[in-house]
Amino acid sequence: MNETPDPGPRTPDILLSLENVDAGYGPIRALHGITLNVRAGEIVTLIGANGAGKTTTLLCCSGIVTPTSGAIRFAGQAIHGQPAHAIVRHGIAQVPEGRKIFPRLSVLENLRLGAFTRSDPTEIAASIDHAFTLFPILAERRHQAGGTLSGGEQQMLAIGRALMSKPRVLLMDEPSMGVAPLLVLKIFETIRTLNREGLSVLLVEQNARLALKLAHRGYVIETGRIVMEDDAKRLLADPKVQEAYLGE
Amino acid sequence: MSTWEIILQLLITGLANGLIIALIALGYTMVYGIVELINFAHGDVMMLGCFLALTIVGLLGGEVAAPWLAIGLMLLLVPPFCAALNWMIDRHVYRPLRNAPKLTVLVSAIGVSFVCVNLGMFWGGLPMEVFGGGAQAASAKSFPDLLGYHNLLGNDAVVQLTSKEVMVAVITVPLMILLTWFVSRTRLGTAMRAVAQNPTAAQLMGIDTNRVVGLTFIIGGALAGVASVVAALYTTSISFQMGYRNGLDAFTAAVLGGIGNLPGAVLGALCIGLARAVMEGWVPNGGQWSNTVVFGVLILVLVFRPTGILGSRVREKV
Ligand SMILES: Nc1ncnc2c1ncn2[C@@H]1O[C@H](COP(=O)(O)OP(=O)(O)O)[C@@H](O)[C@H]1O
Ligand SMILES: [Mg+2]
Repeated sequence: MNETPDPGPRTPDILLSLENVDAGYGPIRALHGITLNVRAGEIVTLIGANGAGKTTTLLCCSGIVTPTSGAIRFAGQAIHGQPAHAIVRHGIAQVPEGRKIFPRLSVLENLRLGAFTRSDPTEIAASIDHAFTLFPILAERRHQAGGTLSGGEQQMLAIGRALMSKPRVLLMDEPSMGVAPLLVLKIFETIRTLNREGLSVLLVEQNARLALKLAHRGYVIETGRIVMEDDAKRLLADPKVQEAYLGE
Repeated sequence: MSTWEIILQLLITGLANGLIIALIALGYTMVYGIVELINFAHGDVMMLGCFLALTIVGLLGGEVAAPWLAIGLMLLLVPPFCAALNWMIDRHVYRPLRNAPKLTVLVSAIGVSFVCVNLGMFWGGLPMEVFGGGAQAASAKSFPDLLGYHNLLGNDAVVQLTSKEVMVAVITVPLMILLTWFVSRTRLGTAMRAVAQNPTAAQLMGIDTNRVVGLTFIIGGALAGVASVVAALYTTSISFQMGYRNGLDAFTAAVLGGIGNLPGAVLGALCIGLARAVMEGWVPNGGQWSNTVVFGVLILVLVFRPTGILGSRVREKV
């Protein structure tokens, strides 16, 4: 019976997987049996309307929201039920919705906090340099309070801060939100670069076109359920996706 | 006394009072900054610290031959006691209520305050000589005058600057500098500010927020512990109800400076200390009214400038 290879967590190249995840906020059920996965080296995007459950899905991965049932595995190891501060240590970092920069800490302090789980000062300094190379504007603003940065600069800081934990997978929640169009392109370009360097990405976006162009694969979520899953290129060409999410 | 001498005297007394209030106010403001909770039991933790201090003096035999030894011993034992007490209160009362409505936590804090006050009364009833044999549990206890009276400005100077005022400054000021350094320069201090500014993002950085909150209660408690030793030595009188007045002063100071703001709490405390000194040392019969004045300041600040002098560090809603 079991002739086909098991597509589940034991497939070696699957880095992050959600299996039948239910989650919610008190009596509100936000996710109904979400199943999706991210393979090593992939950019996967999750697109869907406002309130569909994209953010909740990411928060389940990072441990801010605890699933009520189902399983989340990272590199084969079950991580659901672990507190958020423990999950970061496995190699999962999040660029949260709305950026959530520490407004009264300097850019440098924000970055240093991103490396809270690490201890080697020289390696941390190297990571800060790396963040400054990716986003030179952050170097200029290093002593400025995070709250005084523009939306786009804060987004870059949020990405730089997430990278400071040396993650294997980066969860990104609407990195284009509140960011000037030119900077959005720059940020997406950076995501591509990071991916080429080996980082896997799970990207949530309102801007579905941009996300599907960047990603390898995509999932479509509607009211807490995955309704489509395919190659990003095929989703981009799909009439239903075009009508619902690409405004055609 | 000339006008200048009066002013100088009020300044000396007021600042000494203010520095003690500041140590307590820092505990209020740090805890508020991180969990948005007014820890009503904080003043009472300080009161229990005073009772431990008096117990230690009692065990050493009341009038002590080596006062500095006794002071050292109190400073060694009382702050850890208050820190542990404050930590336990958070761990067993506030933490289970972390996601409960604000009012629930507030009422619980008032409840903890009552428990502490009653513990203080029982403690005062211990059959020790320093507690008057425990015959009158509720009466104020006099604290041995370990430093004695010694005017550093000379025996016939009108203005008094005694070794007690110097002791207050020598103990409290370095502590405040140390705290400022800890909060602004160290990894844990930065983690503390991060949790205060955005607890969710702090968790995403790998910070265990429960531990950071616990640490905040420990530091606040330790500062209250130092304040209790210093206050007992300075005023030479303690009572199970003193947490109320000290709590009121410190809470008002924290609000005045901008709740959640550390330098604000110190500034607010110096203002309250000076106001108390003016009421008690200058205004005729002002002592009866000084609580009213402090309450009045609290109400006026809350009505007209709820963010305090330096602006409160209330969490931004993104
Ligand atoms: N903190 C919350 N409390 C209660 N309900 C929430 C909360 N956050 C999100 N929800 C609800 O959960 C559902 C999914 O929300 P979310 O995951 O934020 O969607 P998306 O990110 O796709 O816009 C929505 O119905 C939303 O109203
Ligand atoms: Mg969202």
